[in-house]
Amino acid sequence: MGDAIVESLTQVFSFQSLVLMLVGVVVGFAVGILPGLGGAVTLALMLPFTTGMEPVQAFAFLLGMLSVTATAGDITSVLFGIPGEATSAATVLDGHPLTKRGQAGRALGAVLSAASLGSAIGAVVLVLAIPVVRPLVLSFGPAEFFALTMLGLTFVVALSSGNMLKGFIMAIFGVLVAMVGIDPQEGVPRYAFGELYLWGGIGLVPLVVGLFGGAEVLQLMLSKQSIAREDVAARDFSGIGQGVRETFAHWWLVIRSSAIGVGVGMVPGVGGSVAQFLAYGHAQQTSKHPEEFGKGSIEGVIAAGAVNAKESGSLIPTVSFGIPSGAASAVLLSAFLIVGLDPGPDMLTKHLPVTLSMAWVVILANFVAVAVSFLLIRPLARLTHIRGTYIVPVLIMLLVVGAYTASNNFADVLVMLAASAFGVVCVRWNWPRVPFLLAVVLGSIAERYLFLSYSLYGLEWLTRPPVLIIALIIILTVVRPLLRNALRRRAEQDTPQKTGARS
Amino acid sequence: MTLSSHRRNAPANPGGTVSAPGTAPPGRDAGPVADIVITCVLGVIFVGGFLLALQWGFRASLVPSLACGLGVVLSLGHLAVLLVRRTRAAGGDPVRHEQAHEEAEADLPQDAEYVFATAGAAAWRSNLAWLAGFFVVLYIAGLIPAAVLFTAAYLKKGAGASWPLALGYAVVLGLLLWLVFVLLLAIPMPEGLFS
Repeated sequence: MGDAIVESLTQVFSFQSLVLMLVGVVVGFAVGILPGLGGAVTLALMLPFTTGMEPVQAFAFLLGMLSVTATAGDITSVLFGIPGEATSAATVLDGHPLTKRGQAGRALGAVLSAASLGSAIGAVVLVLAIPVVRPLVLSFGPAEFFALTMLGLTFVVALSSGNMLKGFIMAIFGVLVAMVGIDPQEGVPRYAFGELYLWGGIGLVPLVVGLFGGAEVLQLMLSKQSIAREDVAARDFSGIGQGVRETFAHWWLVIRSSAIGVGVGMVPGVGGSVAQFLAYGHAQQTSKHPEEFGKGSIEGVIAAGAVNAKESGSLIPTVSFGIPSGAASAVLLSAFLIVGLDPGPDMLTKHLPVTLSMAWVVILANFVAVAVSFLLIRPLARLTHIRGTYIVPVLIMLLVVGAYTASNNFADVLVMLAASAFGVVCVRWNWPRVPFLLAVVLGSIAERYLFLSYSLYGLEWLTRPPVLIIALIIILTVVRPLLRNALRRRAEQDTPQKTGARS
Repeated sequence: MTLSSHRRNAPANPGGTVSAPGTAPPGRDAGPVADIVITCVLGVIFVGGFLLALQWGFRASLVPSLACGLGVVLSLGHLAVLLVRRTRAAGGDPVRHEQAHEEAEADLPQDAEYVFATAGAAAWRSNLAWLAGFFVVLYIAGLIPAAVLFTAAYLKKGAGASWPLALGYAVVLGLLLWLVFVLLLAIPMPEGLFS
């Protein structure tokens, strides 16, 4: 193992590998900031350039690019409320409210430092987990994966603990939206109303872009003011250091969110946006100030950033078993074949230095990206003090490009518009958007695992020990906020009575 | 910083589109009514979804039926809760009044909820008209012409910018869109009806 570590470090720090990684970081940074180009799509576009490269060089280029897209996507989420990537959507919830208070530097400092720490933790876990993770992953079947998706949906409830019933209704509406399209079981078009576009389902990217970005643009148009408060000096960036310090102060939250990122990243078919919302929900549940979430909680920002560890998590099943956990790792899998590697046991023995080099690349690329981001924070944050009406045209173009490039269909723009209208209604009358979005992401995944579980085990899947354990966690997740609310109300009712008795 | 100081420090409102931050948002009282309407609309969608799901086979309809069934039950439950709250509020329940007051106080002038609640009907009409105009031109002429036209017209008429600034901004934005997305990244853009 020691020799492999030294060999992998030597290969990563070779001139060609470093240059290729930096090129990858630059491309990934641009992709993360610009909407419309997802990490998976860009990875696919760059794949042909890896032909003829050494394995470590190819992965330095590809992983360097992939691992910084989410980090860079967090920047637009914080500054403009428009996620550069679907996997940066949860960063909007608290990062953007902080920007509005003139604390963009603090929010960016926190999210970027949390992202780099998260990626480092994820890479360490990748190295440590590979030998031990194989039996664990193989013991998990569709039933356990279904239970995990249900757990994800239950966290949704925690996200709207202030109004749980609204959260439930929005989550169910999200499941209904996820059902749109061709049913994988019987091939029936569901809720398609004869429209061919709807056979493929509602695209996640236009939905996310509209739900969060659309409301933001309309708000700027209506208020005609800057994103950040005008009474806060544009040059006050002392918050950057404060954000970084707060990330280190919340080190335990960083570790837990990174663990969620790695864990969810490993689960095939779940994906990064789910990991981010799960980490966010967990942070809210365990916070001493859950009421601040959605209004500018630094813990929410840190949790959303630290989940960057998911990139390393997604590499674990890809490298160990050749099972991609998402679209990006599926594209990455083809890179293995291009450079002549066979994912599986060989990656843990014969090609161990290549596997280890992936971890170093993820760590190094993220630190480079974060360093570049810190250099760019000041000019980027100044944009939030420009009068809103001057930013509106650019933001509308980003919305359109982000939505249209999902499938190069004008119907995506219409979906984005519908999502924007829905987002405005949600914001105006305080209906939670996150449960809806997470249910859209998880709905079809849950359905797939449900039918697989039934086909494989009948109804006995309900009695599998891991399923029962996860079910117990689900019950606790639902009951805990209910109990907390009930106790709080009782305390509030008791207080005036006691005060009245004293007087 | 306290809430009241936030409000004192609230920026000036050059457009006059949003009511003064210190005043109560006029749309606040519509909250419970809007909740009832939204719940009813979602309930109707769930009923419609359930009826449509009945037309499909067991495997295709299982999850949609379960979701819609649960959605109908929860919508009815929420409706009942809202109506009970409304009745209590009409009867002068002090707890509810206090909660409503706290909710109203929670919004800051920068919050989207505050802006949406306080924007006047004229501001809504004019801004939605700008957006509708942009998307109609986008559909007909494609992204880059729509971007240039919208930016120039919106900055001049909607934002009160000078013609040189509005035109310069529009041309630079159009060029950037073409350079970055068309030339450099070769990403397909909406091209309009005449492409």
